[in-house]
Amino acid sequence: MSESLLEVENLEVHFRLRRPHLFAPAPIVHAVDGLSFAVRRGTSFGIVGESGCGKSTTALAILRLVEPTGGSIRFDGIDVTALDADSLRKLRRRMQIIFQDPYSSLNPRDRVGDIVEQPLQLLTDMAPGARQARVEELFARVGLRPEQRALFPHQFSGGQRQRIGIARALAASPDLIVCDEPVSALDVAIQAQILNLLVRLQRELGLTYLFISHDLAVVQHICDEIAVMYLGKIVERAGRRGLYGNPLHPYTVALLSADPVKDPAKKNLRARIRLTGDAPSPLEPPAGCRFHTRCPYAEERCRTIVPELREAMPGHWVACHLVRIDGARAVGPSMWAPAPAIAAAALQSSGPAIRPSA
Amino acid sequence: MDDTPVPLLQISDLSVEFPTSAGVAHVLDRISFTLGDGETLGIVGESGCGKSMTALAILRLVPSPGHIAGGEIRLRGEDLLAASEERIRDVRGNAISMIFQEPMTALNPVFTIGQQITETIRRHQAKSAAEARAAALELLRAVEIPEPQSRIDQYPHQLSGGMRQRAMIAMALACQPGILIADEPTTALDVTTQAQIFDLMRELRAKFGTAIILITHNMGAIAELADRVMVMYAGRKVEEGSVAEVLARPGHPYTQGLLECVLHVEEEMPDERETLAEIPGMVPALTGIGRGCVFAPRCSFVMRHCREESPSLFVVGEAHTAACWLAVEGPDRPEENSR
Repeated sequence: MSESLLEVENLEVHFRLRRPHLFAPAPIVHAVDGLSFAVRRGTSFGIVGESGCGKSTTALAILRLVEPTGGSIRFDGIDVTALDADSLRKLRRRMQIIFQDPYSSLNPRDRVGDIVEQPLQLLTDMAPGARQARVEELFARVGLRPEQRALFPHQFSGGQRQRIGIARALAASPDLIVCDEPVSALDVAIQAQILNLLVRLQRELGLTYLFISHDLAVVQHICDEIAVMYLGKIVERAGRRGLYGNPLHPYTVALLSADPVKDPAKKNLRARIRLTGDAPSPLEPPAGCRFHTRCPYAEERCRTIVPELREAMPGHWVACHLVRIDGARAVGPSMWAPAPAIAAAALQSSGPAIRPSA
Repeated sequence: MDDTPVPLLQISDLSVEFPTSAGVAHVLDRISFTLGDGETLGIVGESGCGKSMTALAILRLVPSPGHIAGGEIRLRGEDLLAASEERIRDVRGNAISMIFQEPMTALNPVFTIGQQITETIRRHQAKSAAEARAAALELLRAVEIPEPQSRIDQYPHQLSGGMRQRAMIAMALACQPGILIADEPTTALDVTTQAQIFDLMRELRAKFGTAIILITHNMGAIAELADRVMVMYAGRKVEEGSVAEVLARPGHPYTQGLLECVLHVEEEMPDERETLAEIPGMVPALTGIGRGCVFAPRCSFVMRHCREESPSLFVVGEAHTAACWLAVEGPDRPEENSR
């Protein structure tokens, strides 16, 4: 048995849009462009990035809820991209998903007990009696009362609905659960409840998570390994300690800078890169490094040469020309001298502000 | 002459009720606070605690069948609850304006953002269409929307989430209101865009001297932007104080819970994953709240007395009050107890 439950290689998802007119070429959205990573059994792998970076498309492609246009996805050694509908259905018993919005992801006309039972009906050959017992067990496991099975989704709060979504994902005893922003629609007080539940379930059931989020603080709590995505590509991939302890890509530092501070007095102590504007359109991703249009450190080569994802330190991969290797240690933006143009821009309120760490 | 200046906004004993089939829901229960010129007041609490209803009540926009059941709202001394419908329309968008959580649903999809901003300007100011358009362009520039000349003629769906929120802020600032009510302005946005919007609000506050009421469920946002914070639970005010004071010495167990729930990127990482602090349970239904403290069923420090008598607001520090019996009963302050 291989150590990895999920192996993704050069995954590519391109969407072809409608031609603007009869003889024009169809515009192509490069949603996911050559993604490679592996998820070890019983661990959590996080994918972080802004809206539109392709993280949710990746999640859906792994379950083949959208069709990949290139690359391979191997789940427990089985090539998911090559499966016919029948084998795919069998495999889906082992890979399930929790969605972001607990309101739109539950059918308002179904009783929640039936919602949780559906995967058992569709994916397993359990007898009706056994299914009922299983649903009761699942309700208890996610912290709901079994007698609440007969209620409808609108009778629950957001946090409780997300528990129902989790129970549904757990129903057919999957190995892998894809969590697509499972807490970002919830109040902070409820987020902690759901995150604790996910951690407990992983420990009890030996689950493997693929965790999609835009929030680095949430990912730090949940994930063992993390990939940072920007415009369809991984810009940095590392273990939890490596990524948060020594972030190497300027985009990762920018994401870390956006995290609200705990103590207002310490606002300026961390190295900060403030991003301005939005990410460019994945219809026409920039040449060279895709981040160069927003990167305060961009040089000439960044505009023309695509940086390869390279292993800067053991297990710590980064796609940036500017990361230097200094002996055994890779040197990230916190140690780079700000370029003169940037120092000037930092004085203007609208420019990217860079403040050296203490 | 009286030397004490009339506060910009003064709310006293504001109550809002909704009749429901299960009885009257006390959505706001005798809320009082003031807002000074140029000050930023944060209102924090979970969904359903009444924070958005407070904002709507200030603008007299409580949706039917709910109604303001008592109290006073004074804008620079003027009683807004007694004001005519015509007068309150002059106040909305002019003296007090509001930005909403979801800019996609708050903007009108069939008008360009330019049309929506100029509508606000022309409603309150005697300006020609051309002057209003020039002012709108200036506002889009002030909120740092790139290429404002072309963006002004675009529809909301053509803008990204962050840009829509900027357009909303431009519209809210159109008449340079004294008070801006921001209801979860960053909750629907990415972290990077959130940081940009906070920066923008800080800048605009410095530039225009606007007083802000920031409504959020996230103590992290309060720490970023607010001077003073009011914590609400089940339609009541449970704590109020300066941000520095409340963050350092929360006087109410609910505030303490809200603070502990906020996840931060940590530089020191334990090998073992710690269980996050959580507030167990959820907000109670607002009908048939009995005697005793409303937070008692979820409180880890609950005592018998808490279930019998509802605490009033006690002074726990300088300009810092909390509605908790622990705040008065001896030296056992909540944060000194272990959970």
